Amino acid sequence: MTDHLPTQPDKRLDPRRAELAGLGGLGVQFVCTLMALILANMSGSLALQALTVQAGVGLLFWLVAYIHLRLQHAAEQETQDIREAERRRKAQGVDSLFDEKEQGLSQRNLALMDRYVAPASSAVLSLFLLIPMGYLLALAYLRGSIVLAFEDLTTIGENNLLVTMAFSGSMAFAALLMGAYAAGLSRSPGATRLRAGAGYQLGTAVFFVLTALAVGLASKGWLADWPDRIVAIVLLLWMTIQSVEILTNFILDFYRPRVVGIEPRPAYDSRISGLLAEPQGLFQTFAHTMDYQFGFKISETWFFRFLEKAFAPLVLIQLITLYLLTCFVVIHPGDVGIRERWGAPAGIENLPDTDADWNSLPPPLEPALYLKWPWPVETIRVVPRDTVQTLYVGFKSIDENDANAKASKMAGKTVSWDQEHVEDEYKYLMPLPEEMLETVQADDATQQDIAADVETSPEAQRLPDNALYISGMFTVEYSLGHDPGDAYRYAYNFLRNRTKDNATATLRALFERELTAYLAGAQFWDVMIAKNNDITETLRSRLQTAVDRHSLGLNIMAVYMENVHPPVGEVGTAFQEVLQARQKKQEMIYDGEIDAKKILGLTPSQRNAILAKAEAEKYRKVEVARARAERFKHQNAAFLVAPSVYTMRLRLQAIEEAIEQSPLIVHPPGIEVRVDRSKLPTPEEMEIQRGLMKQAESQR
Amino acid sequence: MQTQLTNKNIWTLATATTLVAVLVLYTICFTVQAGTAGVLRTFGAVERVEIKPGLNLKWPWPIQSVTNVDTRTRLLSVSGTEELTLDQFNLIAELSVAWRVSNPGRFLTRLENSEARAESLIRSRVLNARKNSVNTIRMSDIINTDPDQANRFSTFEQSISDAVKASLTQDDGKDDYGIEVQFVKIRRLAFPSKVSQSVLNLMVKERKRISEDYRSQGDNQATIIRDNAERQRKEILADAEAQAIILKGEGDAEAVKYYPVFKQNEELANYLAELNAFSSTLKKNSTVILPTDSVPFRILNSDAPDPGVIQDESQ
Repeated sequence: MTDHLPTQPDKRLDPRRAELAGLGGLGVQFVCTLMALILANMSGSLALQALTVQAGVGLLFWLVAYIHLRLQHAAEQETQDIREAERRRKAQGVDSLFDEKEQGLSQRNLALMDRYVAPASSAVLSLFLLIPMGYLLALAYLRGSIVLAFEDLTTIGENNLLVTMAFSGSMAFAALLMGAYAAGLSRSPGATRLRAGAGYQLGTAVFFVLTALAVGLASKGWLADWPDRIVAIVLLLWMTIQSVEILTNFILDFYRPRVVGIEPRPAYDSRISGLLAEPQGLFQTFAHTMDYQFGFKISETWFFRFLEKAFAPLVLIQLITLYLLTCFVVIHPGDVGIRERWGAPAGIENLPDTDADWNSLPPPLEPALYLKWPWPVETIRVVPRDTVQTLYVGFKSIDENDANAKASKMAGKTVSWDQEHVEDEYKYLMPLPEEMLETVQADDATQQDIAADVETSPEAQRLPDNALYISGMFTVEYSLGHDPGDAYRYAYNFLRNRTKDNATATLRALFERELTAYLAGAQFWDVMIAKNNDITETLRSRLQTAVDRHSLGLNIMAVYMENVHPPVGEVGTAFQEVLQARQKKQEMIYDGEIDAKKILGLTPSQRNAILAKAEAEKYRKVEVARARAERFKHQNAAFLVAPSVYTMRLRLQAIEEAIEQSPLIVHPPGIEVRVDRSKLPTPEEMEIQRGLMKQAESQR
Repeated sequence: MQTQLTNKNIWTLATATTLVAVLVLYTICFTVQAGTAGVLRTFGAVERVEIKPGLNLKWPWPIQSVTNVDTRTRLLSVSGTEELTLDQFNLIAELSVAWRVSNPGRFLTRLENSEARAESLIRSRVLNARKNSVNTIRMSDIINTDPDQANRFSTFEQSISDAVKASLTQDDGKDDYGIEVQFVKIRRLAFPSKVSQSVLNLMVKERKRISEDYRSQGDNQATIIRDNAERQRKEILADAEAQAIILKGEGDAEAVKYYPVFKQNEELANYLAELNAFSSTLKKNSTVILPTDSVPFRILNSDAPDPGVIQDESQ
């Protein structure tokens, strides 16, 4: 791309025409800005909001271009006037009053515009172009993430989308016509300054087309709001790139040599926008690059020339081919399809009024390749037939995605009753079991607590003494029903759009209802431990009945109780305490049995000891008696020989033995002896003393 | 050059014609999607409601315009508010309401095809009906295990549904807003937060009672086991002691047969028995206090008696 404007030197455009074209461009740009603003408010489209800013900045482009063209027109007019005056004076033979090189006022103004105002305007415009991206980044900085920043911005709504699409298309057409016209004029000498506005306006036209497509997709509810956001992001990037380019041009212009006789290209005249005004310029640039790389004029080869000519038709053929691809639809295994012609199921006059009539509709299309009329004449609505879908119930969730995310967090996690299983678990009401009811009613302390609670919570007139809470996570697995009409019921009975899937929401509501009703009439311990399979089958059956009654077209395959538990926290801990207490009870019983074993274990030996001792005693008694009898015979004989001596000796021997073992106190006769028992040696001290004495004796 | 220009013009003409044709078709055709109704308006007034899905024709804008009204079922969640039951319990009932547009023309003119307005209208009627219904039921009617009351939820829901339906129709039975309520369902029942906390406290206390029961049972049973063991031990030992006494008695009986020997000199035998008892007693850590005039210490005295005296004493 050249730094000076390519022109057709032999055809200088009438400056008034260029000026008028500038004014026209300004007017169209104004209408585009106004309409973008109105449509953005009507639809909430983020892309249209961004486009309002883009189109609004375009007004400044056109304004600067228009002023530039006016000054140029005035300067040219002035030059012609001066030349005419000079020619007349020369014809009259009068000397010139002015230096030929001296510029007139308008020419000086144009020079000032070229030299100062245009570069300054370029800098200002580049800053304006940065506003949307700057706003988005500032928002992202404040929220901490670009995703959260987008959440803060309004998103496309559901109203007025078709009108918005139609008017966006119209605006695109208007901007395209005016931009293309101005771009065509800008190739002529004297009108080159139109090109900045023309290129910019063509950019506006392109983004109006993209916005119309995004709004159209949103209106059909096919792709949610992300096409709108993508167009908005692309537009912001486009503006940012333009801004950087204009700023770069502004800086480089200080170093760029000015060629006399060639109009300088203002910095705000974006080369990137210029590609829209002159698509062939892209080819020329590419050709110049190739020539430079290969070292010969590759751009003059037949292939390059063919490519240059065939490019547009090739792109067109490609687009047509892509469009014709909408004539083919593949229904994959596991899915069925409903052919819709102009939005109506093909071959069906009216959708049935009664539920039974749905089954008389023609069967849906089986998996295969189908040929159909192109969009928008025919479409095939694909319904998943065999895919098993899962619904997680038992906790608060914003939508199904949120529910799935919360449920998946629980996978592989070991949780106990004192911990929260899933975020924001619900508590379902159940009747109080009879034994609990007795406890509550019999326990004076509990009754006092109830009375105290009533006093502290005046809004609670009475506290329920017949209910308790239970929590849990329940899973419902379902797929499309087996009846012929189920695909139609699934497709047409409930409103599904990009913001809400009413069919799934209804299924959830019906299951929550059946669950709440079932639990409100169930036995607590049946749910907790006893009848798991019975309960899940009952719930499944009840849900299927409700689903059939309300024509959801679904087959409820199974209901599972993934976990059921008392409310987490203090209650869960109390339930665990019961288990602990049961263990403790058993532990205590074992302790008692251990002690019993210890007690009874020694008893036989003790019994044996007693009996053995008695046996020994018996033996001893008999033997001692026998021995004493024998001894007595001898003692008696001895006594009869010397009675006093024998008795004295026996007496002394007894005293001797006594003294040997016991402390002895000898006192004079006639003295009263009083013994302080506390000062007498204790038996233990005497034992020690005796031991010491024996030791001393043995040493000796 | 001339040929090229001609071709270009043909292409331009064809493109322009196609565009114009598409534009014209777009303005005079409209489609009604299955599950929706097209309300055709001529200069703003409702001309007819097209419920047959497919392609239809109309006069171009601004003469005629079409508004698509979705007639498929939608679901509205009505959050809970605290209501008083007949027996003065505070109950919160969350509800789900399924509704659809039954009269698209009416819906368009009365509610401007606005889902938000319709839901707001339904919500206020449901709230009112729910209050009335909750006020007429008892807590025990809702929460109990009586199988005979299996339909109590349906009755409650039906009363709300009937009241809402009645409020959405005119006195002559005609559709007032173009809305049909298909069902009202209870989603969840709960107590206010403070009451809920009390219910949880009750559950905690009940469990604590059972825990304490278990612990007491354990303690009791352990004590019983220990006491039984102790009793058995004592019984066994008592039995053994009794047998021991019998054995000792037998010993005594056997020992008696040697006693006749002592009859030879009963005085000596008794004296020996005394001495024996004296020796046995003194072996048990006694302190012996004797005056110096006693045997054998009297020999320490200067006036110690002679052997004759001793003999006398011994006598």
